[in-house]
Amino acid sequence: MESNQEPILTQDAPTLHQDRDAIFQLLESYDFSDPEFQAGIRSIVGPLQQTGASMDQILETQQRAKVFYFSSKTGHAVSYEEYVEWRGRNRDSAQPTNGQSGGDPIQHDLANVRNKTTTDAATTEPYPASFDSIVELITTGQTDKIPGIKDIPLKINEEEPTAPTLKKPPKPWEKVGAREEEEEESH
Amino acid sequence: MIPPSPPVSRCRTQGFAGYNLAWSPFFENKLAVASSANYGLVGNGRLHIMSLGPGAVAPSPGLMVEKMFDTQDGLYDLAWSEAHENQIVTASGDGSIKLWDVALNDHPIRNWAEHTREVFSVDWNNIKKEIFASSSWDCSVKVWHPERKTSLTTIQSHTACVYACAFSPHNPDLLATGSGDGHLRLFDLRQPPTTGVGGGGAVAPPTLEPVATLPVGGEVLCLDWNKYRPLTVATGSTDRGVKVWDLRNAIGGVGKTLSTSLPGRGQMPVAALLGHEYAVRKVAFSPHSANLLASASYDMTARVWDVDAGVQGMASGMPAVGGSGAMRRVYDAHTEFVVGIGWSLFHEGLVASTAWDCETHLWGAMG
Repeated sequence: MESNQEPILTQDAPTLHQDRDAIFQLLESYDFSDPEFQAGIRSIVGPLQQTGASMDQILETQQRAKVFYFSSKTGHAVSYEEYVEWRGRNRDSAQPTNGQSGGDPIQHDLANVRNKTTTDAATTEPYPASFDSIVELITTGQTDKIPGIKDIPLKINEEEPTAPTLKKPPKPWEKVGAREEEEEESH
Repeated sequence: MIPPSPPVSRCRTQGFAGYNLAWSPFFENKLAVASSANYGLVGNGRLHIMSLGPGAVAPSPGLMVEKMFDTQDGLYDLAWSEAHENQIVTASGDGSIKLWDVALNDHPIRNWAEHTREVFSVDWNNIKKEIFASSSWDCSVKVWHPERKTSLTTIQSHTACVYACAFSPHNPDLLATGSGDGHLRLFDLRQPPTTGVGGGGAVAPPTLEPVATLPVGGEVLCLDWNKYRPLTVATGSTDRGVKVWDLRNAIGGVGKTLSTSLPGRGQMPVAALLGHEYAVRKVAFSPHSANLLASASYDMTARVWDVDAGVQGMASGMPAVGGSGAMRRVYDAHTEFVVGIGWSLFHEGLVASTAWDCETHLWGAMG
């Protein structure tokens, strides 16, 4: 895995492109489902999420990673700040891209993953869904689009719980002569 | 370094990322895995009860899922009862704690909902076998009795997420915690709660204060007690370090109850084991050897360390780094974050690990 990640870190400064709008549109429709990006984003966002970072922080980190990855892969130099600014300017005038035509990249990712699940299941057993697309659906409040979540209402078991019947075996360190040093305290 | 080798046995938890595992204290071939769908970000949880098939350890133990229990929210941790062979407690992303009777099906036998955020750690007391502890992102630590409707004690003195809590294997009243504020703390449950002074001079409600507070570095994600050396604790943290602490150096006095530490005493680890490339998510001391410690990390590996080699390195002014002799094994057969690890209590040297690759592996600590 180390060798795969090297190129991202050591990429030379990409060349500047003139048509900024086209580049940003390219970025918006870029397919981030390739394994290299997915592995990278998991290793960045995973620990963040595990240590209680806010969803805003996670979303920003994820967007920054996408911009960085896109720049490295395509050679189109784009900064995160520039992209955010462009997004802000274009949000108002942008056509609502419901459904197929423009293509919501997240839905695209999920669709890819689903297709992959059905076609490759026998050989590779892919992940249940892309980590990145799950994060994006959460951060954009679309958790209802995440497949396969079951509703399991809390219910206390009506069966009679079992009674303990076994005496617990001593732990290895509780066996006679196992103690390496005398205990500090007695109890 | 020892070259990679395949696991002795592996078991898939399809669609569910492993979060932690626990070996039964009663049955030599049984373990349980707490897991979450969608990497624990959103969605359901599943408790897996696994067993090693006939033939025990060699040549093919055949680890397999015996039973499953599904939950609304992801499961992050679990602990077997030390008093009842069928009971197991789980920690959930929705703040709930559930008690299961694994001889029954489908539903838990108890549910507690006192924590207001993710419960990240549960630990059963090995000596006072009727109590267990929980720690949460809501900054609180609680002590429970399976037959009580509410918690017995709540510790409110943390100001950040508490990722880990564990009772001493030698003294039932000592509880260690690891927190997002970068500190390892030791609590003596025999002490009376103290009334602290909160921000702006307001009087805070009484709560238990730690008898020792040690700066670990990074965020402390996990800890475990040495089973043979009283008051020796290992921590794993986001600074990639596995560190070993002798708490005897950090606490003020050992009387009927422990008194608060003197500032600056015992604030250095006795060993710092370096080698993991990302945050260390779990540490576990061997139940059979005083010097062996296993660790699991976001770098997708699990490692086994000889703590004594690390201590010697520290004493000579050189923290142990990979290759210096403290690292005994790198287990790299997982393909995602390794987040749970545990030593068999009955088969010496057998380790189980669970990971976000939806697999639980069994392997030998010495290769």
